Amino acid sequence: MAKKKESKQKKMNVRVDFTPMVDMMMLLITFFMLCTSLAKPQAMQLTMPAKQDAPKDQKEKSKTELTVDVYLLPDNKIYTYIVSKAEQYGDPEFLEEVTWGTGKGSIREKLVTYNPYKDAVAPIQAIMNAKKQLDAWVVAQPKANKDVNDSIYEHALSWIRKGKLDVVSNNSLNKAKYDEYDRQSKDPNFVEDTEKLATTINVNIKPLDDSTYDNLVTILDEMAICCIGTYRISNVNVDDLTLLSKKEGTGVQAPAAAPAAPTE
Amino acid sequence: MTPMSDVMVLLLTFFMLSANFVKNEVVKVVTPSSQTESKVPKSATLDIMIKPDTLNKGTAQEKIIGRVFLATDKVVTMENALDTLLTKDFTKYKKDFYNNNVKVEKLWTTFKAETQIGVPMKDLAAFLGKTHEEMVKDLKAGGVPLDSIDGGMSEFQFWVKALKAGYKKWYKDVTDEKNETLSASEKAELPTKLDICIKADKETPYSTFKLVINELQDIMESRYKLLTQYKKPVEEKGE
Repeated sequence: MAKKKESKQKKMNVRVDFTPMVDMMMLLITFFMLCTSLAKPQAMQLTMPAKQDAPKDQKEKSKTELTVDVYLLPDNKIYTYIVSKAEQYGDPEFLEEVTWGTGKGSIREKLVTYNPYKDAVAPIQAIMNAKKQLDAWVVAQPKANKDVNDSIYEHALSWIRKGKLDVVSNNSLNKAKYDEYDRQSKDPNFVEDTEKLATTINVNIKPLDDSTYDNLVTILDEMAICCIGTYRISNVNVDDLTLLSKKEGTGVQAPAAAPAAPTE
Repeated sequence: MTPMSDVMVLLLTFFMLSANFVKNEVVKVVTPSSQTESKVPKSATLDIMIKPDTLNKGTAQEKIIGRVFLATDKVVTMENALDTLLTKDFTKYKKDFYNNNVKVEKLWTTFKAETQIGVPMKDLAAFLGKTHEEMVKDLKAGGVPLDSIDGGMSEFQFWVKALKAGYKKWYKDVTDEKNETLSASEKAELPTKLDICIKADKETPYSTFKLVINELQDIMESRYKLLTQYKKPVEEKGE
């Protein structure tokens, strides 16, 4: 009998009750799930010119055939306007509706394949290829000196955008060229020889008042993806409205004021 | 039961580590998405929120306008800013906030507790005396006025300037050698000025955005960060 009692004591249940802990855990998890946001917002840098130095002279410098006008209309509509000669301005024939996204007839395709001089590779495609090589280079770099590489990457990318495509070669950074451009950028007396640069496209973004902010951000994102060196958000003037109203399907009313008065 | 509590602990750890608290903002906006991958600065941001609102819904005069709200993560900055505005630019409202040059404690405490600035200056004192429910209602129908006062700067411009100056003052105080509330490394990490972050709703009409940008350009602010949500790039065909 005594023996039996002893064994019973040994077999005593020693399990700890976890239920209160799990309850509390549940509460904590619920709290954290409800009070936190996982998606961290991203920041897109936008720099507008200061009011004083309106880039009037710059406007005249860019060639007609190298400028693409993009109109953002209400209801997510987007039109491109590409003319090859200055005297063709105002002709609605060159106004073309494109779609958002990447497929055929999209704004991306339009920009990437735009080739005014019939080069072997379209200018924006060439720049995007150069960027891809630069991306390949930065991925292949050792993680240890990330900060240095990131700064090199930023510099090289800004030069690629300006048309200095030879800063990369064979999926890697061309160190000699990089150093040369680095010296040039630090030299205040250096004058750029624009003839040597690859063709770059300028984009004029013209959002109408009723277009949405969403569309503006999408087109700015498109500029970053296509590595457009110079783009500008300009205000729509009377000429633009007249042009849009001539095209069917835009839904834009012709402006009431006489188009002769130049507005800026 | 053990496996379950194991999973719980894991989940809890995950949520605690990735915790990124939602700010208690009365006015919430849905930002557009982009493929940009740069992060928003952790501190010292001046958030400009733009929320669209439809006026006269269903009538012929239906019009979408954007309401503008200001916020910053530094409470001291907001206090400094209001102080400057009251003593310099909006002196006629000073008597609401000061009683014989002593701050009316109740109003200032409420002001500091509010995360967003979104009512016109003339209504601010009355607004701060209201109950929370009324405040929420007022904010939703409010917004910082963008129209210029007597041909000069608008209230929005005054606020942005004052907030930036307020941060500068705080920064100067806190990084002063005699001030020992922060360690040397913490002082070095502080940003020297407020970054302007524009947090506009997807549906904001461009006209409002243009107005805000124009007003910022007028006071020599030309660099902004547009807040977006990350969207995965779509792979192109034929590659």
